[in-house]
Amino acid sequence: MSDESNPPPRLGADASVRFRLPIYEGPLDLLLHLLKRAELDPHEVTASVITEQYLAWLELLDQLNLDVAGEYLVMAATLLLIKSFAMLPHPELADTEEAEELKRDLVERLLEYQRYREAAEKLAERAILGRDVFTTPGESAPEDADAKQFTVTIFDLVEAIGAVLKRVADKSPRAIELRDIPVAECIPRIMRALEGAGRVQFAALFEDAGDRSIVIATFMALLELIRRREVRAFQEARFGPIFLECAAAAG
Amino acid sequence: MEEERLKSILASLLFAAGEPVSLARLAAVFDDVPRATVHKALAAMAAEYSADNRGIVIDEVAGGYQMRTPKEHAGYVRKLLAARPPRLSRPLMETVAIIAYRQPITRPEIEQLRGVDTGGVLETLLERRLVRIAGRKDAPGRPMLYETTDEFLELFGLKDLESLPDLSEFREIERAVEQATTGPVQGIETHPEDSAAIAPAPSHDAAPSDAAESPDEPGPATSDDDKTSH
Repeated sequence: MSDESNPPPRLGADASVRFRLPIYEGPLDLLLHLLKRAELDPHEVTASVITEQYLAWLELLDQLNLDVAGEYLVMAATLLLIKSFAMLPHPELADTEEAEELKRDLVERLLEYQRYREAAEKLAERAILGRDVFTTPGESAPEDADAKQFTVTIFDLVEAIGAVLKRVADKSPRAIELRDIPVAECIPRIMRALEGAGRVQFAALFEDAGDRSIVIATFMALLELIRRREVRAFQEARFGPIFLECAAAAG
Repeated sequence: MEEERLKSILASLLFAAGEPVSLARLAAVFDDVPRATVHKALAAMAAEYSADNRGIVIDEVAGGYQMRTPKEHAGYVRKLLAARPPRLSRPLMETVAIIAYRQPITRPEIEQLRGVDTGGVLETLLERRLVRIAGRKDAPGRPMLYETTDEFLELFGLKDLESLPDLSEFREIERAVEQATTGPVQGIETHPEDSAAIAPAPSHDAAPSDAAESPDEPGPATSDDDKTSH
């Protein structure tokens, strides 16, 4: 693996220096890079020189104590499997067909990936706003003008739920009742409420909630929806009421 | 209204708006000017502005008209504003390109194409409003679908999605792939991407997404990988 045309990346002498490798973005990217350097076509991805160099890269990443993503290992296994098929003297076995299919799939994925990589390069070469071309900052657009909005942090939400819980605690019965409210069930309920009304005040979401477990489950569901960016939380004034709306409606 | 006055007002509108303004919104400002006249005036302005090298061009972007500085002046404007250009790392560009050409598309589908976990990049794209959630796919697990936004068109100076480079070629390939995959049963192969829909893979992509600006590139990091990172 140490022929001159392909020296593996060298480690610096000073081990305390932290390296950021020119990490190829994934196994497909690494394969394309190796193919390009070897002046080979993606159709020749199963050439043993490519497999060897690919494995050398994995070894190197390992030596550098870099986490090798599972995807790289899956690809290594695929390459080795194809290679082993090629090496076995088994013309009578139908496995050659399987090897062919593996190879065909791999080549197809490589070619498709290459297309998107090229498309990405073309896009990046366009006149990028903020890099190549500039515009005026502009006054706020009409849809923002009528409602100046502030983003709500997780702390604001937790504070708000604290207030709701206080209220609910007062009117809940003394008898202890254990109920399990699955968060997943609350998600469609929240979405229905938001889709019907467009926007909903945070507190209104909990008006019907009889006890703490429902409040908490609904809140967890809400956090999940916000995390997934399906729901947006905002205020129209600092320290004002928190509103919720579907991210889709906000466009 | 005489055309010169109309053009002058339109220039004010575009300047003040900053963002791309659609023909409909521009025409709605005038009570007595037909839309076609506004359209004509805009076309004439766009031609005049670039012919006269006025230092401002009028581009059709994201379904509207927008005043922009010409690319030739980028260096000067950047110096004045001391603006940091938007960061377009390779993973980000690849992912946004895949979404642009294949939208609406799910995360597992993107990861199948790229061969790596894409959660972190998608998060960044959502944060920068370059993509948004388009709904859910009618498939097992109801995975979320992603599509590009007007901000995407604006960033890359695209009039609409139809103006994506080589779009027709991509469409043809997509059709061919669809035809090929509707026959045999799909999804028997054991791609790790399938599990990514349920549980996000360990966040390995932190390293690769930073790689684009890596200053210490060892040995074989030849220049062919640097093109999109600056």
